[in-house]
Amino acid sequence: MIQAEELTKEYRHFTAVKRLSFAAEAGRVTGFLGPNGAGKTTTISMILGLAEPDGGQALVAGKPFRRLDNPATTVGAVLDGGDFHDGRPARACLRASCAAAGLPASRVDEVLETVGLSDAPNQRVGKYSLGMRQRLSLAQALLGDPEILILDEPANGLDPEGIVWLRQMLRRLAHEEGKTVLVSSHILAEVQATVDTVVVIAEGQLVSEFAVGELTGGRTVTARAKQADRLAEAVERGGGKAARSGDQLSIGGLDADRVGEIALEAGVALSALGVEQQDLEQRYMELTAGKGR
Amino acid sequence: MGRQIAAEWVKARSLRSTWVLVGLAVLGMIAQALTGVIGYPGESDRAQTLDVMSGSGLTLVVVTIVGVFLAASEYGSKSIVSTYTVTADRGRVIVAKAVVAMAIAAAIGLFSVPLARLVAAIWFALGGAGHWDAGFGTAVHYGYGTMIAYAGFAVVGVAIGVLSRSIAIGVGVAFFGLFVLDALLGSVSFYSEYSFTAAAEALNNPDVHREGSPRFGSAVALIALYAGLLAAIGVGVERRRDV
Repeated sequence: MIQAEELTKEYRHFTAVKRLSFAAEAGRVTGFLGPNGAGKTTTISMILGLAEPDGGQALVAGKPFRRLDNPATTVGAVLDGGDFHDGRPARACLRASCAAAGLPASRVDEVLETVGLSDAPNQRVGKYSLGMRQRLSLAQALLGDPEILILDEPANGLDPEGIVWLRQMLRRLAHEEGKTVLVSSHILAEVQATVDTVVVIAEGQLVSEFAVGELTGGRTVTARAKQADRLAEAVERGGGKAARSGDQLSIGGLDADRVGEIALEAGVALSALGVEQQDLEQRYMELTAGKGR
Repeated sequence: MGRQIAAEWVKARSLRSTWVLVGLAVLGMIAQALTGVIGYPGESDRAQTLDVMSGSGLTLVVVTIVGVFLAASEYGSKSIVSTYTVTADRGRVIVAKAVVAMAIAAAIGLFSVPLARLVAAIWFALGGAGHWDAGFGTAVHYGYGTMIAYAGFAVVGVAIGVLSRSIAIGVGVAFFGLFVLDALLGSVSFYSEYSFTAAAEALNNPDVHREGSPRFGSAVALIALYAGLLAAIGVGVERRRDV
């Protein structure tokens, strides 16, 4: 589990993160979203002990990161598209991490196989494509088979096949192996398909924390009719709420079948009837409107 | 601690630049030996032999750069992020880097006297003037003096690399601080006995004592003190800084 408690980070001219509290639970993939400059990377840096909070604390597996005995076996991290020296072969990058974490060298080949890089292990990282570097970062994160994974923009540079692979892997790690997965990403459709819970921050503060499943409860029915006024009145009488825009109504509180019945009973001819499901992108845009830096 | 040292060794040996620098350091030692055998034909064989065996100033510069490089290259490539997410204790990481830099520099120093002997042997075989006039004890003395000097400078290089977080700035600071400023200050009578470069000179050439320079034992203590102090400052500062 990852816990951020009243986390605050101040720089000379601005407050990057302000009293931010949230939790990412085990067995779930948690999306960490926010506009550019919202404080996501700063927050992740504080969680990983790379930046010192000015207030509050971040706990991973119940401890501040810097107090973990062997961090690689507790937390695996992918940051900023892979932090590797271009001149070093991929295998050496992982071997160094294995040595530092006291893991057997055989683990290197296992994780390279897992991420699909087993055919280019001795190539220097500088020759890798962005997608290959991302995979190498994931390999590094998985080295110690940690219970917690923190991934900052892990889909950057991955091809569509890689994105599907990543999604499946993250969901498997969380749902089947019970790991805690925190993912920051700008690809909202992908986040919606991957995560269970979303934490949205803006201007360094928590804006919203919700389960992706809740989004399906935000459905609205759309109906088009020449007698839109009459239909709106009938919908209101039937217990729904209608917002009119020209000959189109957006109806909440009723499902499409019931709206069809109401229109029939009211003698209103419909030219169109459909369901619009609110997606993560809409919700995100509503939550963060005007809050980007 | 052994795990971090092993990790830093893997990192150091997997980069070509490390081996290029080691090659330059060896070339520095060869140049020193060649200067000794070719440049001073009028001196006695004993003095000539000591010149040939003495540690190389160029190699001192290069091993300092090795230290700077091992530390600062991690920041330029951002691989320090991976390093610190695997080992949270930054002090351990820096000490491990210092140990590896020290080991590489000491290993280079270990070959200093045998290399000098080889260069001299080739010179004599080609008909060069003079002959080797140093016993085993002197050779050992020069050998470990050079090793200590190189190792100390490499640790200082690591500390400068950590503090500067940049290869270019680190190399600039190391070169200016150690080989320009310290050497200039060494001309001041009070400081000359405590100068870093004078201490290195005393270790590189232990059987030739210059007036106002530290003796061998004092030079070892000075190098250890300066290297230890700078490394401690590096650890202290790095523990408080954000990455």
